[in-house]
Amino acid sequence: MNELAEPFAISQPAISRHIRVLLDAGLITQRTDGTKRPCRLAPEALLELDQYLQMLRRALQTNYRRLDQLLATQTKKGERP
Amino acid sequence: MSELVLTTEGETHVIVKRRFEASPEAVYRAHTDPKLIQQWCLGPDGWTMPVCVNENKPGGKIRYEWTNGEGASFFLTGELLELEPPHRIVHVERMHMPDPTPDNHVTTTFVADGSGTLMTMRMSLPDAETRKAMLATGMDQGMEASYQRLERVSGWVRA
Repeated sequence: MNELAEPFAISQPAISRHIRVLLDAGLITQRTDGTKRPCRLAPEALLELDQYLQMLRRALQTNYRRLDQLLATQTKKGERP
Repeated sequence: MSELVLTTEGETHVIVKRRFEASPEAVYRAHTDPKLIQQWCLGPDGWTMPVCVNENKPGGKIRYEWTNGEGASFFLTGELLELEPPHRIVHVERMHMPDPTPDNHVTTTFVADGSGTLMTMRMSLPDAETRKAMLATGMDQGMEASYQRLERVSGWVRA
């Protein structure tokens, strides 16, 4: 926890709260090693979420570029309601 | 700005923002008129929407069916909950692949922005199982880039 808190200008309790959120989301795991509680990324959860968001972004970008063209055509035709 | 902005809200929602160079009326209509929806709401190139039902009234039904012409297909059903033309659409939808995914509640708003419209769409982030099923539809082409990015992130955290 101390090592994780070091680079950030926030308190250790605040870091603990952030760690709790990541643990609950399944994005990291934590084990006990004496007085230390080292954290590890859970790559599978991250990768899968990342893939999903990337797929969504691509699909929407493609959709909205098509919609731009459709709207431009309609505006030219004076088809606004 | 016509670039798509996609952010997550907590662990449960996705927010999408996009500006269009057209009136809120025109953008709203493109989201509710089946003849228009069929022309743009298709996902990756190569996919078409042979069936598009949008009853465009509160309580009305939605049914969109997509196919890639190579044997892959899936469909979406939903209900329109609130319609406030041309500014707001609230609906619920689910994918059938073929088992239905948990309901996704979506709120879409259209606000005049100069000569255009700013659209904001807030929707549920699907659970892990649904995300896997959606990725398995073959609509994803970004897997390799994701792996590479993940490796960089992991490396940074370890360093």
